[in-house]
Amino acid sequence: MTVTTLSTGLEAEHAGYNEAVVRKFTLAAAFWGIVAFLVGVVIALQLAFPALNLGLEWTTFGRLRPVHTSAAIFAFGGNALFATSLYVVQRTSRTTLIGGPALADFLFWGYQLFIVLAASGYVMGITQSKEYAEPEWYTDLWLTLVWVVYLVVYVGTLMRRKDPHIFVANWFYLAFIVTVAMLHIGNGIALPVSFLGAKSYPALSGVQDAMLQWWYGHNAVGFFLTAGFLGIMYYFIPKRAGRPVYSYRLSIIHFWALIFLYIWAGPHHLLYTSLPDWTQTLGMTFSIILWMPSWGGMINGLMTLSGAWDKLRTDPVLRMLVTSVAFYGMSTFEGPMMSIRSVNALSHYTDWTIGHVHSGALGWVAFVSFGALYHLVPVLWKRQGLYSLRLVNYHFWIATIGIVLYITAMWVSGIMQGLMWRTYDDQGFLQYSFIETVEAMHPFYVIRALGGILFLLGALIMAYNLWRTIRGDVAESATVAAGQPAIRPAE
Amino acid sequence: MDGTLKWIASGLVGIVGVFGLFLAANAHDRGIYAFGLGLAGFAVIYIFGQMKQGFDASDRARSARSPGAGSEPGTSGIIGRATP
Repeated sequence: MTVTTLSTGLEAEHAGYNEAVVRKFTLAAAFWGIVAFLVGVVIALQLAFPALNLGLEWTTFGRLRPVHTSAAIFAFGGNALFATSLYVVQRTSRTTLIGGPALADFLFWGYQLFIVLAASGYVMGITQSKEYAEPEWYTDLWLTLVWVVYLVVYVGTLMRRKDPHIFVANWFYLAFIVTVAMLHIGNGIALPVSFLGAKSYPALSGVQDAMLQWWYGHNAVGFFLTAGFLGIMYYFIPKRAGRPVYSYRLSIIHFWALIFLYIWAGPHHLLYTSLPDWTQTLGMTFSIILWMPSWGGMINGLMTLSGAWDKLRTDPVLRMLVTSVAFYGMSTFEGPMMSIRSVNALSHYTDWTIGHVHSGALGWVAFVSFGALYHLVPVLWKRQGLYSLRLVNYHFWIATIGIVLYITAMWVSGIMQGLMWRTYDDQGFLQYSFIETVEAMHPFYVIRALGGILFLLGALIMAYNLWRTIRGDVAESATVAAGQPAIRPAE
Repeated sequence: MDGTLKWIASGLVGIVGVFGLFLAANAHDRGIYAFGLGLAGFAVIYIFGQMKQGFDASDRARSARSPGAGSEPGTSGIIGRATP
């Protein structure tokens, strides 16, 4: 059964918004999300059962791991950020994108080319060996070009806004775009061996290179995976809850405090290394101070539901968005705690870090993106609502159980691993060999893979639900209940 | 303005695509080879996309002038016209 057109959709067409590019990025986010989770499941199983490396160089853990991380961060997260930022900037500025479809299409196809180049390069063994910055020089150059166009489109659209005020979500998106450009160019400076060859050497070496890398790496978390997704939070939670942002003043303080503090926190990735002590202490101190803006933002997001908490019972999309903010709070508490030297002495290089990263990536980044996609698809394809809220509910619970299994397994595994590494016998020798720690972690690797499978299953349910929504189908249960008061998502 | 930009962008992307073919032809390794072919493929997809959008827009304009013509983007005005 096909549903009727929403008035909001018609208004969007009259306003001349470029929704075609937002639709493309939305579909790409859903597609790459499934790719990222699938590859994640494969490499999780490889860790538990090494025979699954298949003895082929292209399918080894070392080559597939960056495919997983880049697909999750840049392909899934990046496309979700492109989709939502280009949607939000048009709606809040009440104008269409500058540059028209020509630049918007360049952005879309240019970004997809970057993803394909990066991923195919990893599988072929072409890498700079910098975590989260693996692409070689030519892929970096291409991304720089695409990113500059993104900045031009975004800032140009903001500059011709019809409202003098710049809505706070745009501030977060803008910080994400500008800072990622700075980080990418700074960390990507390299000299190619030949302009017709893939190999290059980074401009810096030794501890300076390590410091630059983790200045990039941590701020990729801070500005790509935090600031950008906070933009989603500040637009989509109020929209979905039908409430204003709890404290607009707090959101501005949140913004300035976050962007000032995050940029200094990178050295906490290099505690107990040859990095000067004062730099390590600086990184640790700023990481701990980050508790304040992070929790200020989390409280602002959660309290936006004041007067609308009842909607959590009836709207699983809003529940997903709010749960993401709870995970944001948890992971931004855990991160600064892990940056404290004495805690880091136990946690660093262990699976605890992996658990921490995934509580942020799955709980915060993915959940807030899922919520935004569920909100966007009916609006962009001009449907009355999602095909099935029940399927959203299934997605929510299956994915939540998956995350809980994943992060608890990694916490237990990581702390055990750290404790085994530092255990001495009566004569002062290390009690356990490395392989003994690996054997001890095996059950937790299996549990982690199971958590990943559940998360992937949830994403497949989402893809099915979105596909049926786009087709214009309505679930039978919704048709039967049409005569009764229906539980509808808040618009 | 958007129309002019479309021509300029398509022209520049076309040059990038041809550059990609030269790059692939002279590549020292499979990384640059894939990059060159990727640029060429990107140019083809982008330019054909712009052409399709141009035809869709002209179809929409034509159907707006004569309501009997095909009203859906991508539908030929002749095929969509009502039988006399």
